[in-house]
Amino acid sequence: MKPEPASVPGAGAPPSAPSVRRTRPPIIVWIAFVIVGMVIVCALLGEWIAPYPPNEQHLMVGDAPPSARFLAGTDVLGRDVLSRTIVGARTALVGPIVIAAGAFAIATVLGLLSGYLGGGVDSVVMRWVDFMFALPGPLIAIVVVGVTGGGFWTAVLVMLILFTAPDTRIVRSAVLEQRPRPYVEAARTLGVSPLRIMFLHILPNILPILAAYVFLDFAFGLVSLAGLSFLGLGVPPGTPDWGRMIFENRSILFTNPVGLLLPAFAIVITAGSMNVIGDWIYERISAR
Amino acid sequence: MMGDVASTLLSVRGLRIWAEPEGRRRTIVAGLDLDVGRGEAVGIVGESGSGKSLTARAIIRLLPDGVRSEGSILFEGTDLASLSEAEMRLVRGRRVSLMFQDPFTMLNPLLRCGEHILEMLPATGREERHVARSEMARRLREVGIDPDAVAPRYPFELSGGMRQRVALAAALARDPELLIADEPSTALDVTTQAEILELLRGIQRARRMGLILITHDLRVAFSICDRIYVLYAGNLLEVAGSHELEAAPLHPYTLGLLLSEPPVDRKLERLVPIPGSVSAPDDVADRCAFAPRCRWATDVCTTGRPLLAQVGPGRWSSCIRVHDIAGEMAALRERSLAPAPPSPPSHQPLLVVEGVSKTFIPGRGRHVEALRGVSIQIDDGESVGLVGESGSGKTTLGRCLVGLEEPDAGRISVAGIDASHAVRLSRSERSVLRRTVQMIFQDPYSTLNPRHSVGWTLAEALRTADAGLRGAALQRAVSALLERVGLPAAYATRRPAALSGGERQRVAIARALAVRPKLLVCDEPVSALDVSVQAQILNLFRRLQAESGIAYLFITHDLAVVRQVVDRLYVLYRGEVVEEGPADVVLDQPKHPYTRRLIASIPGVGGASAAIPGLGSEGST
Repeated sequence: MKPEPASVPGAGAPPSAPSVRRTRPPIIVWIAFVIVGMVIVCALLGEWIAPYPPNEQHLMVGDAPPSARFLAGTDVLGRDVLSRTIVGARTALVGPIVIAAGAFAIATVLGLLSGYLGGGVDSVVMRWVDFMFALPGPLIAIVVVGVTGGGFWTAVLVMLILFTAPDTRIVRSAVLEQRPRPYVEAARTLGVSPLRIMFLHILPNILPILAAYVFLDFAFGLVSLAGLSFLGLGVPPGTPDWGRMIFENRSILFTNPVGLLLPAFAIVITAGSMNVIGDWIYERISAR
Repeated sequence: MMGDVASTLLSVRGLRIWAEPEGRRRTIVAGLDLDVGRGEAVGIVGESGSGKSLTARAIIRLLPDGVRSEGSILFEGTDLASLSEAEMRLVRGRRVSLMFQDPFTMLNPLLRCGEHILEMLPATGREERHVARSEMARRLREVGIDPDAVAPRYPFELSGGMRQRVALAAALARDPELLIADEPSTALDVTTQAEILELLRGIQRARRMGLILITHDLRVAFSICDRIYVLYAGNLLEVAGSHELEAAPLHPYTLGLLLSEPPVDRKLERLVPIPGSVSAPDDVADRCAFAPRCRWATDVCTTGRPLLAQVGPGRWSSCIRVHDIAGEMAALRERSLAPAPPSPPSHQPLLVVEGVSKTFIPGRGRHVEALRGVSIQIDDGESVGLVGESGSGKTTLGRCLVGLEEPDAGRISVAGIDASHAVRLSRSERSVLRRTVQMIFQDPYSTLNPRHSVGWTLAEALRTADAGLRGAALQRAVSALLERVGLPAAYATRRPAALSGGERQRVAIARALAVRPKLLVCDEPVSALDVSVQAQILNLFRRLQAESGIAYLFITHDLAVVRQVVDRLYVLYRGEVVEEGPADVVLDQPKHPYTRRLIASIPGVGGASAAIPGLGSEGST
């Protein structure tokens, strides 16, 4: 997750290209990297950075606006909003990472098989994708998590499966673009096995595109999980979680608005930063 | 300095072009002087990276972002370099027009062809619309187009040649005094290419218009230009009249270009290639730009950058040793024309194709009959050419031979195995097939997997033939393959992006050789390469054949290339073989009218490329 301006995958333009653009990432991308870095630090070291334990109740204070002692004020149970926001970075990162990585792992396999082999495999995979597209995603998530009473990991699993369908389409179209290239045909002519062609020839060439989409998936996963938490689904009560904090602190909107605005802000800038990074990677690839 | 032109239209002095990515200045053109007289056709000839296209764009001040130029560009006494952008707009199109290589991207796909011309015509009032329409029709007729049939059509409905004609009419609509044409015929089929060049020449003469033709092909420049500027790595190396240059080039590079372009009228014993590949202008800033590749280079050539010096009436050369080596250059040219001895006939049929047909159904009920009952035969160790234009089905046939396509009907038999349907073959039969026939693809830039090193690619190919190969033995085999195609073994660690086009094509050949095939199907293997590199690769093909007796099927549209490497020839036209026989017989005494037209359309050979009725190449492609 460190910014590596000089070694972006896939920046290898042919040497004869007249205008090779090797520009530095724009300032907004740097800001996005810094924000994501801060969120990661909070997720890893939350308890040590936070001024108070996230669940410690300062009952004498109640729901108080920001003060020198509680920089972001306290919630209705007298818990420090700042500390809860910092520690809440953990669920905010873990869920979306599992969703984005898992969905893409499955989508990569399905997309490669479907795009490269075509025929019956392609039909089956694509009909399944069509079926998934026909489902109202958020509603399914609410119903499944609500009915099973499942909690955080059920929510993550449902999201992961829902995300697999659009990701499969992306992988498949990237594979279809590579498949007629001479280097693939040369490997076919040589008699290289289909699995080797898929995973050793085509996959490395589409990986940069997938990397860009993984970031976009992360952002969308974060917002979706926060939405579920806001509805009271997902993380159990008491867990410091951004979506849940918005839900819990609705009632103190007029006594301590920061209690609601700070986690909301955290969601927006984290998801936004991931989008910016994903877009930037995508642009770098398309500029080739 | 070139003041012998009666009335100078354009005079460029000290033109320098450079790019500045991240503040590092990269020279593209290092000082260029150029004159174009009224009614004169001037050619700028150079390979890729010579700076020829950017020179054209600098003159009309349409350089891409990040590329800058300096120097004076006097057009009828006005320095174009000093004009404001608004003033420049009044020059572009009206007085100087530019025409590009790709006839498709040049035309707006949403405008009908007639509208392209109407838009360019001088503004007329509403009541004069019919005047404008008849003017538009006249303009289209000038470029040989029937206005009623073409004006209401969109660019995508036309063939490449027709589009290029429309583009020419649009470029001429404001009656410019100077037309700059950047590779106007390169993207077209050979027969269409000849028509466009002839049209361009005719119009240029009739209008007494100045013309700058930018091309990589000396033969194209000879066929329509009065004078030629030879540009190499951003430096002018030679300036001369077309005829003088063709008769006796006075710079080793020009000679090298001439020699590496294979002649169409005979098969040479050996082509004389230019070693190496084009240098970057900044690497040769303090010396003769061509010195690193010149067989006559001595210390004096690397001590300073030689300037263009007059060596005869109307002739300039930047070679300081030109007087010392003129005799040797003439002798080399004489020697290079030695014809090759006829190759011994072979006997064993290796590949037999009988009545193969293939129809593509791209959807919406359309049928494209790519192959219609084609029969060919290739013997052991024989070199066979398959010639035809785009759409003739030649690539489809090649792909059928290596199993990338399946024929709908007919039989392909390779080394005794029926290879018509790859899926029905047993595993062992399939592996015999692969070891017998391999393929070389046209585009050197996508033929190698950009993510893997050269060594990885070759090792994989070697191991598909012999899975037991590993470790040091594998490394040795990779090195041996690289050396066989004339590359240093150290190239194994390189990625394709670090190689030039010619080097990539060598690696692709090495990859195909890894399974020791008996037949290489080469689909336009040199058409994407620079002229000077083409000859190297053609010589490599010939050397490999002499060493290992491999057979070739050369699929190409270039008759001169085909003559250098093949013994027998098949001419494919619209999916059918229309003529076959020994290469020299087919090329010297063509029987079928289509073959005759193909030969006549080579620049500098046919001259009169009379269109044959009923054989229009302008059909939809």
